[in-house]
Amino acid sequence: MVSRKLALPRRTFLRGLGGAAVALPTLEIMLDDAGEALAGGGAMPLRYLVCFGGFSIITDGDPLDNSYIPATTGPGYTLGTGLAPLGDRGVQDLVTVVSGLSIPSQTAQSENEPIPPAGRTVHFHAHVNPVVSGMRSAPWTSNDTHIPTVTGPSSDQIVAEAIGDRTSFRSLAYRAQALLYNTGTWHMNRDTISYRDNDGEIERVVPVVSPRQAYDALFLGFVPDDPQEAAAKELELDKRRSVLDLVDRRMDGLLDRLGSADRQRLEQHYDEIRALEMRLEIEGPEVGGECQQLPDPGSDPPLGGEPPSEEAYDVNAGYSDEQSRLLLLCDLMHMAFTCDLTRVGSLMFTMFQSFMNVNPITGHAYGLHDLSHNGDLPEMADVIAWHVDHFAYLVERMRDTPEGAGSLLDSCALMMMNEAGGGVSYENGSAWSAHSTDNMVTLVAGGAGGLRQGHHIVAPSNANHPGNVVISAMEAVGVNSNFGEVSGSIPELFG
Amino acid sequence: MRSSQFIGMLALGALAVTGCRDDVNATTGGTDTDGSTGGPSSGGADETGETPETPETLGPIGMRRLTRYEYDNTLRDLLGDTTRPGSQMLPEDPFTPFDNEYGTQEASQPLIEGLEVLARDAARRLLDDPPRRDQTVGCTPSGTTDEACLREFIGRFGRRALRRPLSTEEIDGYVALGLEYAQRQSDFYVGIEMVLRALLQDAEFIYRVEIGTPVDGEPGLFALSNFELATRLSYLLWGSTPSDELLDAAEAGELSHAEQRQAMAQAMLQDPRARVQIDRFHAMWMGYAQLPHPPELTNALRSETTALLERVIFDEAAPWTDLFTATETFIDATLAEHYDLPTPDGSQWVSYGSSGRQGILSHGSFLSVAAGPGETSPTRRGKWIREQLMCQPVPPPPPNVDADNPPTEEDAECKEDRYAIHAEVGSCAGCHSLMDPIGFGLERYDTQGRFRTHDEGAPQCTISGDGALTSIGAFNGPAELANLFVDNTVLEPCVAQQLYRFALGREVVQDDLPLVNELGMQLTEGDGRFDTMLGMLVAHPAFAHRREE
Repeated sequence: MVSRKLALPRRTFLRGLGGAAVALPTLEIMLDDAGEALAGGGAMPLRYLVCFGGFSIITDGDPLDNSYIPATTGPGYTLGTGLAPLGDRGVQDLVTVVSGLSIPSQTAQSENEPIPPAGRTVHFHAHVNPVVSGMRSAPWTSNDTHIPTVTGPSSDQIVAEAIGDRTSFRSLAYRAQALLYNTGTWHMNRDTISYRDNDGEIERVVPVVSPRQAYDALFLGFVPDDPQEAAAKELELDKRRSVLDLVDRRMDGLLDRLGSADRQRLEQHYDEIRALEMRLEIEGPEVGGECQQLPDPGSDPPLGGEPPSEEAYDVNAGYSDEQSRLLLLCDLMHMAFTCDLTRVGSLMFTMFQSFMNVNPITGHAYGLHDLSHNGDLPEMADVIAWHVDHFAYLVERMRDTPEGAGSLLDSCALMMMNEAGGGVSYENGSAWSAHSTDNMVTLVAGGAGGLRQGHHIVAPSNANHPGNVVISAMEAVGVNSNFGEVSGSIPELFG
Repeated sequence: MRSSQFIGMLALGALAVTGCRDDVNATTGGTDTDGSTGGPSSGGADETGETPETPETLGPIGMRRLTRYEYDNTLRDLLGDTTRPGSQMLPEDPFTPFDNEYGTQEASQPLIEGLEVLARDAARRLLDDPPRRDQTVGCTPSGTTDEACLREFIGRFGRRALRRPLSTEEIDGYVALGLEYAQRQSDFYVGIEMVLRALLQDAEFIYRVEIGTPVDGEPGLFALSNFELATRLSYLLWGSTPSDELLDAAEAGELSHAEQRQAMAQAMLQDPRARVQIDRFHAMWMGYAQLPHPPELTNALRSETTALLERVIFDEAAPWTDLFTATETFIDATLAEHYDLPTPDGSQWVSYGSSGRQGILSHGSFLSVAAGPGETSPTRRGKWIREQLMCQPVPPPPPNVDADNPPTEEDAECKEDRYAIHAEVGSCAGCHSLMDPIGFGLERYDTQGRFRTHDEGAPQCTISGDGALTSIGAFNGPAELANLFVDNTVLEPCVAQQLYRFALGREVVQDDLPLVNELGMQLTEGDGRFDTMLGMLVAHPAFAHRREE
């Protein structure tokens, strides 16, 4: 292969790359005798994962019930329909429910009222920012195109900044909902929960949507046991390096001929190619024990409602078998943690204001967002349960993966966040609205940092922003940081 | 200028109204005051041999990436690969309403990784299919390291892939890569694989790079090369990569002049790809590119509309407005039942008769657009028509309005009464008068375009179907709405603006107005044909230049 020293990237920040460190899984031999720490005295690696679902916990006009908010607090809390999968999968004693969360809102029907810190505008669908970054929503103006802006880094990127340089992947960002399923408007930022701070500029960390692509990237450096397969893999890696090397070299001449705006676009493209080239140089993990290459998932499920192709107009409006996609992405995230390929992840199940068709879940053809306004509570509970079931599946997989003296779950802080709660609408004054950010719930699982497991906790009034749960989870993996305009963890989450 | 009459109809982002007045002319901007006169700077036509004229005004443009749709078409036309893999692997292109706005394109890790996997897979599929492989390679290698054959392939295929001829030095670079691996693997086609993978990840394949030649005395203005023009033509008219013939014309310098490009466009419009492209343009513009129905219904509705577009634009070469005045529609028994029309034998053109339907506005495809969940929303329908079909932006609702939900008035039993609050409350009425009356004129057609006379499940709530286009006139149903549009030339300047937006992959700006204006004039004052308008667009000096961002 053509050998060439990789030049430094043009931009100061190299995206998605964990430096040139060689990644190794946590082998038994590296642990101390008790299996509780690394033999060198270092702590066991800690893992951080944010999951997100674009659901509210009530439907318009229907009062709050105990579907997602347990009727009892403490351990052994009640399991309504929304939480039932925790019982079904036997992980209730590992998952803590934090209820009573609220994102403060502008309340007056005037755009002059200040937006509270870490809060939202009266207009509901601009509130991505407080959820993903703990910053307040941008003020609504009459020329607003309703594109929610994000003004701070998301917590996975705050954590990645602190611990991401120790693994092949600084962080992984996946999304199961394959498409916006909505025409005529640009919903930028509603499809992304991960944002990084690049020298003061907040940039989207675009999630990988194709499970096939995610698979390919994750198992890039895995060397198969079979010598023939291993040789084929090595040849393929070598081919990729050589191809990218030529692509890379050809760009130099082109950049010089472009105007500044185009050059900037291409430089970003170029930086990503360089980052990929450098990932190809990283040695794969030691495969063995729990760390194994998963079976090839094959082609991705067809995209629902795509515009006409050559042969067919449409497969299934609004649904691209997100069920299969999400399961695959959960498996990939689990293996990424198991093999210590990354310690930080974000997994978006469904988008903010999701237009995914929930027919396969509820038997009624609604977009998820439409369901929240026009459907009824039992249907929403089924949709919540669908999300919770996949979160419970992740918990189950982590628990069933031995690591050291315990399980992989012991070193994790996993969260399931969602878009809205249920309560008064400041938009139209109705008592029970899906556009409320009161009575929100976040699920927490994992034993990192002594997180309390299996309890229902009502957030204390001085720390009841979903961001306070986020801060606690970050603290659990050893990262002490504010979350945008939110500060302080929830003491009840520990101990 | 006669053309200035259209500018008043155009409402651009920059000119968008910030409040709603009961007056369409509220959208008029100060367009006439900036001295724009429209049209090219020199009046003379295209005497061959003359320096091509430059546009008097031209908005800036940046580099565009192939959309997922264009990527898949391009693979198909380059390699005969019909698997359309790009749609799965490349980041989604949002419909704004068009899927090609370069402002939404960003280089990200998933993009780069996706492109790499796509290139590898495409090369493998080709090598696994010997007949297709041999056709693409074009020569039979005499041995593992047949440099002449490899070189010939790179020269010919490289020109197709990068849409311009490769220099000897560039070819050498690909030959070196290919030969090295052909030799190592003792397989000529591994060399082909390597070259393909590199070409399909090249920046000039992924992006439509336009550089051009600086125009003397016009800083920031560049005349596009013939190859860059060939690329503009093919992605506009075919949604795909230029053919060998088109590249030959570029190589011979035969696209420099307006009449040459116009003639080329006429030839390209004969290609089936042009029909698909024009169909898709209308689907995105009018909003029915993604329908929320089961596949069978979606297929039937889309086929109906495609048939009308093909008939009007291609088969009859009729004025574009015939789309809105057609008195027949192409349906099968299933759709006949859907519409309550006479059942045809197989699929046939069926007369609308006195059904109150006429043209594309009465198609189920269009009537499915902008419905609320499970129920029509007169506000959303009206907003969509006002903004997309009339090019008049309506300001968003004030922050204290929950626009996700229809008005709920406990006492009102019928939908029409519930919506009455929009007209009664002063602060609502201004904007809603621009939307609701249009939607109410179509209220007798449900979310799939079926006719109805009363609210669902409420026979006592008769739907009048009475609607109005503010300051233009009253109507009832899609036929009368279409007639109002056509009689008042409302749609022509807007579709011209939308077409130009689609052609550039960005929103129209003030400096684009002279050309947009001319295009609209073609529909109202010229022969009225859409293909003629496309020819005018590609012939215009603005099409042959770029202004740097």
